[in-house]
Amino acid sequence: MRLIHRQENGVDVVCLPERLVTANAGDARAELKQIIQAGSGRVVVNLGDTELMDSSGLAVVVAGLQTARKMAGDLHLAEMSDTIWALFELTRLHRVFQIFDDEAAAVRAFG
Amino acid sequence: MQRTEIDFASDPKDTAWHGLIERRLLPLAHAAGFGDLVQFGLQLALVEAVNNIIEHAYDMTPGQPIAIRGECAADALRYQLRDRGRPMPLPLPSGAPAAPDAAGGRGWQIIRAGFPDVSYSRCDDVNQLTLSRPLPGGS
Repeated sequence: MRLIHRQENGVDVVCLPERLVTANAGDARAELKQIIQAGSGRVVVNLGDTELMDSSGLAVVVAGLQTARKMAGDLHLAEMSDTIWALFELTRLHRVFQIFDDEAAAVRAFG
Repeated sequence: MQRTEIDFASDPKDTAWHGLIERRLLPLAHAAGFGDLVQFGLQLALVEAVNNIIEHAYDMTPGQPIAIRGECAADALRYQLRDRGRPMPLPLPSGAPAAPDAAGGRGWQIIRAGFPDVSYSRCDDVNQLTLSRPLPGGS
């Protein structure tokens, strides 16, 4: 799988796929880790296209956060739907991530 | 009582069964009067339960049989998942929240959030996991 990735003001912006589930989570996790480690550790993950995410998908973003924080960076989430938000709330991950309504705000928050 | 059933083969790299759950099983939840967010939670719970079968009961072996029967009874919406894999270790996980930064361990939390009543049995080498949720407005 190829994650959509670009850089903006020194921040890596990564868009996750429509479905991030067990079947593709392993590849996505490896690719996200590679992107983060090749950059500054400042990452925005855009969930605007993501309609379904299971626990393996959640593990992808948690692993990404851990990789970013090891580099003294952070991973912000942006543009999640109400249903994905409900999943983060249910699993209490909304307390772990900084979550933004839009991608631009998530990038700006890095200063 | 409304009923529907799907069956498919395990495939760790395929997500076609997600569509079956969405198209064939979730309409029961819609007909039962559950709102969109609850339906999404039920969908996720079913996905997690099937993931467990593929990963743990079948140890990621493709081509193994999985069947799900859904029924909307007078008191509850119920889905029964059947497979011929390894028995599920007991007791069933409580679904307690994982540590905030834990990489995994959220599957059963999602299952139990969708379906408060979960039971498991094994008979003639068939695992049967039954997931139930009382109907909205029920006593």
